[in-house]
Amino acid sequence: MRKRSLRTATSLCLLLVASCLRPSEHHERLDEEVGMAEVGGLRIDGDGSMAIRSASATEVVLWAGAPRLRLRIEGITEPLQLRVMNTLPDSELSAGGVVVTRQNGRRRTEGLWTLLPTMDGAELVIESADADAPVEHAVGVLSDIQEAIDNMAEIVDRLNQDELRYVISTGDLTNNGTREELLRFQVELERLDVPFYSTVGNHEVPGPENWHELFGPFSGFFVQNGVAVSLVDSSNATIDPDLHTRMIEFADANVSAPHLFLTHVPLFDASGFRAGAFRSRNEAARVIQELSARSIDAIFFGHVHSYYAFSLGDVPTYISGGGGAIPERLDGIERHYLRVNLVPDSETPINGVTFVHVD
Amino acid sequence: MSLGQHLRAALALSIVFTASSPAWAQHNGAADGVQAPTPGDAEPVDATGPVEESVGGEEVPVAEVVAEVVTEAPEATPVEVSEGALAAPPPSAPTAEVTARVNETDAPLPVPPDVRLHLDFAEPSPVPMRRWAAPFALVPGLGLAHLIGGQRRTGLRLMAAGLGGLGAVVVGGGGLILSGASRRTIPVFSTLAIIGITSFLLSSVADLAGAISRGRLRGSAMNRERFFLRGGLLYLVDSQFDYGPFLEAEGRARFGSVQVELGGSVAITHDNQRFYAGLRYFLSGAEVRGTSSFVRTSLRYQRFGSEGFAHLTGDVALGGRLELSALGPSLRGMFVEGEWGVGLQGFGFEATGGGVGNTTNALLVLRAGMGFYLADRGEFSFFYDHRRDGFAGAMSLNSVAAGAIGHVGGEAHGYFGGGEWGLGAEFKYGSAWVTRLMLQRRWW
Repeated sequence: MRKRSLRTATSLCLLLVASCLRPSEHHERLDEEVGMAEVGGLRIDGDGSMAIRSASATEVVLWAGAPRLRLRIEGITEPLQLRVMNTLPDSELSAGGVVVTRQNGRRRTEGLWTLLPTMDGAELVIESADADAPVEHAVGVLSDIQEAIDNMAEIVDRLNQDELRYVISTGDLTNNGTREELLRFQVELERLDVPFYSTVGNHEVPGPENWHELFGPFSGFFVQNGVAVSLVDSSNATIDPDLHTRMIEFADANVSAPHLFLTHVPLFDASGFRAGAFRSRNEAARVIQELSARSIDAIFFGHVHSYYAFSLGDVPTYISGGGGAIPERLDGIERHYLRVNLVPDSETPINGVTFVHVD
Repeated sequence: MSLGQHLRAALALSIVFTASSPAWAQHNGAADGVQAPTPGDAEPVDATGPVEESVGGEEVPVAEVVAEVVTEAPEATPVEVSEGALAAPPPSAPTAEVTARVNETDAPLPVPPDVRLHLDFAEPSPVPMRRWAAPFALVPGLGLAHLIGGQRRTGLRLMAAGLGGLGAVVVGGGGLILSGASRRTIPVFSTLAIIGITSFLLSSVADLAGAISRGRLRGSAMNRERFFLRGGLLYLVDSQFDYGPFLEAEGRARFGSVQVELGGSVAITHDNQRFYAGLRYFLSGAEVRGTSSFVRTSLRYQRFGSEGFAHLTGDVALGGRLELSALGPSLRGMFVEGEWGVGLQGFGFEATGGGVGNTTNALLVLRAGMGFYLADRGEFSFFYDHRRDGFAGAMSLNSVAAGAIGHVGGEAHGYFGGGEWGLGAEFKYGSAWVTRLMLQRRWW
């Protein structure tokens, strides 16, 4: 009895000790619940790439965290309006393989569909018609807006001048991750003609439940137009072991596709003295080895409010924190975003990463 | 209190006599007088010279000098001191003289020559301080416990360290904010901010520790050995790596002011090895582990065979230790230490052909801590370390500041009976829990 008690106590101590080392574990647990709800007589079972904003017998509102969403809705007894915010302008919904007509939303990135009781429990897929076509396209990379939210309209207007498929971000969209700040950011996004997919930065850490409720997953993995995109939560300067497993599984499953890897905190800061980077250089080095071995095509970081281009493990790497947050001085870099030209089927799928001035 | 009362209160001397050789061996390498004997140490000491020296004219604690009388008979024969003289000198040879300075007053203490005198410094008398002033140390950075407690000079010095640290934080932190953490100014502002924070905090700890101990801490700096070897186990809890335990060994050889350092760690159940080579030049204090300064350089190589990468770090740093008794007698037995420097780390990956030259990253080397001597047989210290190229990395935080703060830790080592064999232990908390337990041996 005494031996068992000692063993139990030792295990509990080790567990407590180990849990102190996983500051983002809470994010992973929340991500496991994303896109699932039972409310208003409905049972919604999503694939973890969306936030359920509201649900009732007559309307379900989702926020899309990826270009392609898969979900089932059970309990549809009357016509149900499905409103999806932050979706591709050309996204379509198919229910059990049957395309449902899209109605006009309030903006280009809002899709409206009416679901009938006959679609109860059917697999609903929301994606663009060319989702799997490796067509040439461009995406924008924008991070670190924070307190510069009042001037974000200028950045959005500049983004709208580019023909972008979507915009991706490494996070730090807000200063403190409050619900008010996130909703304010959403208001600014309503000007954007294309969807905005993001992971979280360290400034979202104070309010993880807010992000979870409004924008859904902290990390996202998707393939769109032949390009794999990993949006990986490193908001606490580390990648949680469970997330690391997901990250590697996605990379292994898409090793032949061009692959963009985004995470907020740099694996290594371009300025080593500053150390605005992962908490452990050993962990960072392991991730670099893993990304390099899986032929990741480009790595993007935020966190540092400037622009750097270098390489890690021979993978082209960019630090871009140009959304307007307190900038790094003495570097001549103002507000900016990056335009990534993608030609998925070619020898060089990344056909240029362009620094786009906003100021 | 009269002188006699001081003596009775402060000095209880039992003299060790032996009938063996009158040769006075160096105790623990001690130089003058009865400086730094080890309690219960079997080595004889030269009993001439002052037991204590006054510091800055302030009142100083008087060491209670206790030794054990050992004659050829196994039983100890206690001999008491009364009014500054041996009450019953043993029937040996002639008298030598031991002088003990008590509150700046010499008090001769005759001791027969050909006598081996073992001086066991018991707890010194406390520095006069108002005991109720100790809680004022919880107001950080102002030396309030000492100021209010009656040790004004010490309090002012602690306040200077605290407010100086605060000033450095303002300049460093302000510079970081205004420069937007510019790569061009980051080494300066980061250094100022970190040194400022540690100076502010450590002055507060010293204020509290001094107010509680009031100079009664026993022990002082050990002499620095010529050769040193230790080996043991390293155990890590890391959420990212499944290291398993490591076997470690480390050796040091000192030739005057130059010290060569070599070490290695090998994982027992994992493909991971780490090696270290260093060179240290003592600018001062090479012989004793007290106030000292040094410049050092090192190379550290680690191979993560299971994970497919390796790294090599070279660094150079300036550092030192300051015994806090220099600030005041209440801070006896404590010290602060630190180092500052720069490094460069090179990484190589299996995916890119191995080696350590694929990716490089600079490194700010900065460590600061505070420690206590353990009765002349060892030391305990706690520290903050900014570097994140080792096992411990930076602090695990669920916060906006994640990744910015280095790791903390503590280490202790001591020697059995003050002799050659001892034990060392260390723990660190950052991105991993790191614990070490080592058996160590020193040679003079």
